[in-house]
Amino acid sequence: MAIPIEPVNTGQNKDVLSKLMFQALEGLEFGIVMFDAEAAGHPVVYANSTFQRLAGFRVEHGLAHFLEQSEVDQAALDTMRQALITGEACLVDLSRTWDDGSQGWIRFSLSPVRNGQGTITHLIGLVQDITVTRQTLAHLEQSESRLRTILVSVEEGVQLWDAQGRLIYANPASQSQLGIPSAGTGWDEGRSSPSDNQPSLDERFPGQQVLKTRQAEKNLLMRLDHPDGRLGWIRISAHPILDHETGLLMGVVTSTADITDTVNQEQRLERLAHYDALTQLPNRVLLADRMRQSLARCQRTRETFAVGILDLDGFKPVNDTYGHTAGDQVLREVAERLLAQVREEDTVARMGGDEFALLLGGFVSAQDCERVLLRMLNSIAAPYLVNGDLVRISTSIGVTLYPDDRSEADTLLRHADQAMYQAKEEGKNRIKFFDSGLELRSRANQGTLRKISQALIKGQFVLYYQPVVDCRQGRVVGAEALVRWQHPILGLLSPAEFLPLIEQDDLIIALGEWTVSEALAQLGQWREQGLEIKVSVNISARQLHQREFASRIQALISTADPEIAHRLDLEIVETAALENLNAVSDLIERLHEIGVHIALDDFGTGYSSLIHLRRLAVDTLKIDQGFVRDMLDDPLDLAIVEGVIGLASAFQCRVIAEGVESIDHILMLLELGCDHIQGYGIARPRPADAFLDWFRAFRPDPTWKLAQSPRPGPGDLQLFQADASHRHWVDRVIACSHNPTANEPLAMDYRQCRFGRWYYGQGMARYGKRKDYLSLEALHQRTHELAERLGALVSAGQAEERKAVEQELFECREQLVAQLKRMHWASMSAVTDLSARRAVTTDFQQVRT
Amino acid sequence: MTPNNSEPLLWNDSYCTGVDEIDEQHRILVNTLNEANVKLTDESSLELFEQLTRDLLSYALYHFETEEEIMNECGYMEERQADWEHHLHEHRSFSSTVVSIRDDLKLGKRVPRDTLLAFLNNWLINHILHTDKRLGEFVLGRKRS
Repeated sequence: MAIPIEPVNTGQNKDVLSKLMFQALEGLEFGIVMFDAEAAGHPVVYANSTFQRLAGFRVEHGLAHFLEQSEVDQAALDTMRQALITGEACLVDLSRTWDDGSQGWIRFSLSPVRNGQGTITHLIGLVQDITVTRQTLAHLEQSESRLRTILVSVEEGVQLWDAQGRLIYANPASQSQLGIPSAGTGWDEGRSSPSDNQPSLDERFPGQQVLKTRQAEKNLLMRLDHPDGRLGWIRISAHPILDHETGLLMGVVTSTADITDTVNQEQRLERLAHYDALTQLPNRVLLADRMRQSLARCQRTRETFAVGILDLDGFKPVNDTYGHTAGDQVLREVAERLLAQVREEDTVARMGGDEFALLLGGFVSAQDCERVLLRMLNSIAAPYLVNGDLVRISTSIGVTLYPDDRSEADTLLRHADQAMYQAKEEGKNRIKFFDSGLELRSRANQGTLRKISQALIKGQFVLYYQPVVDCRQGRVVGAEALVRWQHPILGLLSPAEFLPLIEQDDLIIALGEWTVSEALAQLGQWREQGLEIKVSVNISARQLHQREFASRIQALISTADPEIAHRLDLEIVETAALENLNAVSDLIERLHEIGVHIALDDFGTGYSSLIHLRRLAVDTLKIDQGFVRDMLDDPLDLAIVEGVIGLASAFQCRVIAEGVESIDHILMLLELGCDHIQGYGIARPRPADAFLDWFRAFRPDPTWKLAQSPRPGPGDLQLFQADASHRHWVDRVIACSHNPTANEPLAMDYRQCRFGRWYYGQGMARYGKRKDYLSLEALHQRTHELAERLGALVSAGQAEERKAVEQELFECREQLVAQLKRMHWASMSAVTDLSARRAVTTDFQQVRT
Repeated sequence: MTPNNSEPLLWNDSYCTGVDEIDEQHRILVNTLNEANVKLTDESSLELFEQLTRDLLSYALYHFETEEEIMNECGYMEERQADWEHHLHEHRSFSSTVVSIRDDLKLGKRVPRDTLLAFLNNWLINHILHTDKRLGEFVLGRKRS
């Protein structure tokens, strides 16, 4: 470096100027020295006082002496010596110990001064006290070194990114955590300025977020998939770095901690809490959680899902035979087989023991679901290899479907459990769906039960009495007490409408006992009013089979006058009596002992054999009203009615026909020998007061007298039956024409109807030689022709003509019936008075028309 | 809606009368019908027929009570006498039909499956969709005014 040595010519006197300059040099904070480069030892030509103070060497000694004598800073001195040889400038820092004992540093710069020929004549030196600067720098270096030591040694990763998101610095821990190489040495080191091939912030990295928001992000969890396949978890925080003065964002510092172990540990703990240790299936806790999720989702999406409980059949023997280790192995295999049948999003959980739970979705119909379950059933049923043996178990599955079963999670499980138990009961190795409708209705039925129980307490039940009349004698012999519910809103309800709802509940016993005591009370009241008849009450099957039935009846009866109690009959349904024949037979004996009579009700609906009937020793048979009602149409029903009457006669018990609707029924029954008759055809059931009124006004129907003639022989009964069946056939033809869909088809062929079958069969055999008999055929055929025509007119919708044909049909029928009657009378006993006969005929026809 | 159709009858808004109590009970009948559709065949046991008809009786008892009580409370008889009479008539005839089906069952005469289901379907369509809806409209109208 060449220093301009020529001073600027200011025109001043050189001496004055020189003096001035020396004064200035003395005042400088720099030390200035000039050595003679040509003289030996480079003696000092000039040195200001600052130099003398700072340099720490005597001015009398030259530069050479300084360079040689100094014992410290040999490297710096070498540099200076080298510079002297080469004639170049140099700058060195030298440590000094000053006269006062203090230590410090100087910066010494030495530059050659050349003359006009380029020869170095002098050396000029500048000395600066750099003690303070050196100390500051040392502190800084020390601090940074400390910092670096920390950054290198900490387990946390620290990364520094610039405002563009490029990595400036990463400590060594970053490498193992994030897989990025440690880079840079510090923020402000110019030589580590970021380049494009250095890692930059990933979009997902929280630092990127901080660059946008300038807000710190703390304690975020990040999952790392290491290239080697390991899964890692780091906790990460990111802070913005802002310039203190300008507030500008300079970058982001992120710190990361590898918490993979912690997370793994947590997951292990979670597994322990949520998974079954044996099968690794979710446990109850996790199942409950998954169910909550499924419920929430399906409420939104209206999807269907199934909740199932699966219990192994025959697992215990495996455990007992092969030991628990083998049992556990089977359970693990069961878990695997189950998992193989479901989708990844389904849940198979272990509830404990050999019970599993299922949470299945993704199907549209119950059938789809059943298919999945069936596969499970079959896969569980395949054999297991246990200690070299092939072992078989099966499973019972109970399922309920949401939202058909719109219940809470716990209830869904309970419902599935119920269904599972049902599956077990029905023979195991099967699937049973919970019947949510049944549950719903059973709740509704419970409500009904409560209502009926309330009604009993509130006295809403009343007894109606239906007369039983001996039509041959023309007198009232008794009444059946029938319970009615005087419902406050629905009005009067018949027992058929509510008894079926309580017949499986003890409520029916309470109602039955109420009926008995009410009927006894009524008998007492009637007796005071001069009405002395028998009353029968109905006993339900449940009441009959009640253990203490006889004693309870006895207790009820004991409160009444024995005379009254004697007139109480109990009606037992035939089917109920047959349920436990021995017990009922003993019971009847006991009741007989206390003077109570027994009637077998609805007789014909059970399957009583003669032996049964003998064992039961009942007092009365009541022919089921269904048979009585249909006996005029259905010969099989008639056969049953005849049969029951015959049985009653054989066992010498009374017989009562129920359900009598018309005079034809009555006459037919009288002809068959059944005199005791009950039904709408005589009187409807009515309250006690009305019954008394009816009783007082009762007059026997004169028509019944028809049957008061001596019993006809079997042949005449045929005529009577033929009469009844023909009239009914025509009645039904007419009924059909009014309401074509109401009845089943009639036999239109005149040989196929009941009359026709009789006429060409039994009738022909007996009466075939009689003229009056043969004349019936034409009338009968004509009736059928008219019926055909009527049918055709109805189909064609011709209402006017229909009436005419109907009338004609009716007349034709009457002719045939009259002809039959004539034959009937002709075969009657000659003893019968003719006038009486005529009177009867008149009565009969009046009733008919 | 044919009785042979085994597809379940799904409850939808067209069945709603708007009176919650009534609608809730109607669901039960729909449910019963659906179950009958699936389970009932002509060969079904008498017990199943028994159970179904018993459920129907129970339904008739509590449901008709609910409806008729509502009628009484809102003056249906006074305001809409013809509708009221018709409605009550339908209720009584439902009950008596069920009772007569049960009477036949007792004699071992099983009502054909299709007849029974047709009866229920018919009831659903005619009674719920027409008769009950008229009542629902009246009740709702009453509540508004």
